[in-house]
Amino acid sequence: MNPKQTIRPTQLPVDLYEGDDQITVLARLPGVRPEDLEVRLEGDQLTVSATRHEPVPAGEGDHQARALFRELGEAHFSRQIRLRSPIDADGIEARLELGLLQLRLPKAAAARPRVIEVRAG
Amino acid sequence: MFLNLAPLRRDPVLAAFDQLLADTTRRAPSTAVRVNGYQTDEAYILVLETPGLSFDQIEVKVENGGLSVLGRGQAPSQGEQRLVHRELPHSPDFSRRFSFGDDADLEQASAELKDGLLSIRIPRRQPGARRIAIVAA
Repeated sequence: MNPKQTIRPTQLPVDLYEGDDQITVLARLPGVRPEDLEVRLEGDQLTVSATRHEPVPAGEGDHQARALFRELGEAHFSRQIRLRSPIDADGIEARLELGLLQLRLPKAAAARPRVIEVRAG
Repeated sequence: MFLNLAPLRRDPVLAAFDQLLADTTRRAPSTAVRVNGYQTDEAYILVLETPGLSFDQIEVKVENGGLSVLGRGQAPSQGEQRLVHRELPHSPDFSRRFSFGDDADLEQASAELKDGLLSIRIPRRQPGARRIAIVAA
């Protein structure tokens, strides 16, 4: 049996920001590499899944390193967010920098506020 | 958990209160940063999570025979967007202190930042090893 299947993912805490044109999702993912992160949009449901491997030292001679204490082990994170506004899926931008994930979700044109010109009758 | 005043942000009085709360929180750096510690024959190695912090926002100090690591930063600005849901701490600030065995050569410590993880390597002095000056005859 694959031992990973027995590990339940931890719910990933997020901050959500909203403007007229886009929604931004922020999450902390230190130690997660881009290839271990998945962002999926299905209908109005956004799912962020990530795996962090234990950050063992990888320098020369570190292969025989032994742990004195370990607070950062292997971990699986997941979060589902139901979005209230339709999103332009092609415009989604995911940036993982310094262990911080910033997801920019542009609202679909129909969901953006529009100013209607009022003409004098 | 943090108070979530986001739905009330448009009220200027409550927004000011929220800012005050955030400022108060910033004065006391969190120590909740998680760390792994390793040992090899040559070095002690610490790996800390420092999400959202760049190298110039992290300070590593040698003091009183130990090592202090301090991080101070800000959550990235989201421009005109308003916060509608908060679960992350108000700031990425943290502080944590470590002590080591006598063989730790703290003055030779080096640090590397990658993927939001700070790795600090402290070489261990080898027992019996001494540097011998070579003088030309």
